[in-house]
Amino acid sequence: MNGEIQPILNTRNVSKYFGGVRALEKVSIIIPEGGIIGLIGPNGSGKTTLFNIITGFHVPSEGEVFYKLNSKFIRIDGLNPHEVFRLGIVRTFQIPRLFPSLTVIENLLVTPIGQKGESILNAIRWRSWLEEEKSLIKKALSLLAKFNKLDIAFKYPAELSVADIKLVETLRGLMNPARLYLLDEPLAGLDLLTARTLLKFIKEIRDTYKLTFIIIEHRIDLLMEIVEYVYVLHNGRVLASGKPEEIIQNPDIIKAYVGE
Amino acid sequence: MIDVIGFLINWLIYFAIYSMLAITLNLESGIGGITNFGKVAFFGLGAYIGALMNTYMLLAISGVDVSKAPPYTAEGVIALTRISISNPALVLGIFILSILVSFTVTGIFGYLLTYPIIRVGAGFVGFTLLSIGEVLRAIYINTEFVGGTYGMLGIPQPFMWINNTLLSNICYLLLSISILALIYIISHRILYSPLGRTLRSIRDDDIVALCLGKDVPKIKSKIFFLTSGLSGVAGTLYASYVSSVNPQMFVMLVTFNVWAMIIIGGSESPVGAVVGALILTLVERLLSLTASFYEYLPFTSDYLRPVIIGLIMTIVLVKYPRGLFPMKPPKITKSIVKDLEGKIS
Repeated sequence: MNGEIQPILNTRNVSKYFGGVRALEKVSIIIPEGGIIGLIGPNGSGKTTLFNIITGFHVPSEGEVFYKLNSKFIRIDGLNPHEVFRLGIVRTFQIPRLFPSLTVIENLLVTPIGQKGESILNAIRWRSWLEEEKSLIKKALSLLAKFNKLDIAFKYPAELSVADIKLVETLRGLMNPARLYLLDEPLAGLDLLTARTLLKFIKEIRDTYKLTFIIIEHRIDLLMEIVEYVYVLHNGRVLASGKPEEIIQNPDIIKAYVGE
Repeated sequence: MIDVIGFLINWLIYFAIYSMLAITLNLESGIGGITNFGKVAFFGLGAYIGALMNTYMLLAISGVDVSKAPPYTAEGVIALTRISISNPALVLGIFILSILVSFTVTGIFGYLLTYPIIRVGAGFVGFTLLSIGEVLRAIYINTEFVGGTYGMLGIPQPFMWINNTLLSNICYLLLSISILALIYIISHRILYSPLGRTLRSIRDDDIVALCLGKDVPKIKSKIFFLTSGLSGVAGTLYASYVSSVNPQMFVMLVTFNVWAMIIIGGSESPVGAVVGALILTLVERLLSLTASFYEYLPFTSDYLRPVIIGLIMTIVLVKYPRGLFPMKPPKITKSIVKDLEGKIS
């Protein structure tokens, strides 16, 4: 990676063992600030485990994770998930986990941190949080409008199609102003049009707000349209990394995916 | 033959006290996801704090030697009755103070309890709290200055100086209903605020809530502080109304009675909690009327109560699986969305 781009996150020799299973072994990746980075690899190669370590769900067996905050690097491995979130790192889940008893719009509204109405005293005086609530609802609605999904705002997750659930899961992550987004298979199950709209939208907000994205995805054809750099994981190791066009032609990767 | 007005007032005071328990249980269990099978622990603690303050403190301030006339003896009860009729300001003052103290102490007790309960799995929270209730009861039985098995008697009803039972009970009813109204408003506002939304999200899936930046243990302990404190207030009101406390009043059955209320009324919604309390306290009070006919009946109300409550619960749940008044999505979100309609591109 060239020296002029500042990294926002890097992992140094991260390993994770579950009993005898080596889910990750000495994985070192560097995520440049403002980049859209792809993370690909066959099933079981450790992609989601890496996300879990970055977001505080697992503690790495070895190695460190560093994150740039106010132009200083701090270690974030071993922090609690909610602490990691507060540093500006948002993740979405591979299998969507919407809150079943909340409507779509409420699912989106839960995300923003530090809402005024979340303290008991402010919750009782509803005037204190009304203005903030209005602006959050506006933001949620404009997110939905971007995908022509205003009609699902008051539906419950159980009433949605699989693709809509997936989309809402990603949008829920995007509701919060964060710096680094980890999207776990955001395109799975989406139709081509919505998938392209989502990718275009990701690129758009990246350009506007200088955000960073790490995207795990199996739909490599679509992914390669927007990513700038790709890491390939295989059996818990970084098999290759490089620009998308280099990766596509790398015979090792084809072998890892389809076998010999 | 039957004193209708007296019965109504008595029922409504019970209704107010049990509504407080049902509303707070709804807030912590229906919305906050803390399975509280130990509601009676906080109710009982509040009752004992109220009983202690309204007797010992009253006696001590009035210059009675507490060691010679403790409130669980006849001398103590006589002295208490004398003071509570002759010195209304002192009685009322101590009563108000006891409500505040009981809110604080019970609240802190609940807050401290969240430390162990949030760390055991969700299923064990209920059992931990259930056993806390029994432990407290064992402590009451074995502590002499709270009266042991006999409990404490002669807790003054703060309006006893009015010298007219009906009028003083009406005053007490008004006081209870106003406290109930306050608790209802607090619970309603929390439910439909961003805090309520966060609580419901934690109940649905605490892991996702955690990774969306919610400090789940902290939010749970805050809400448990509030609901425990308010159950303590209900306990204090109860102790002063029935004018005595003893360990047998705070058995597990009380907890499950309150659970039955929110199941029938519809968990999640404060309206449901109030309606559930209204129905079940009416059943309870009507059954207590049968006490005068025991010689003609082959059973006592204690055996009839579970049958009737079970029957009501079955009928309600068959017709309305989510209870009589389940929660509706917040209106405020809908109205804001309606305002914004057409402005979103």
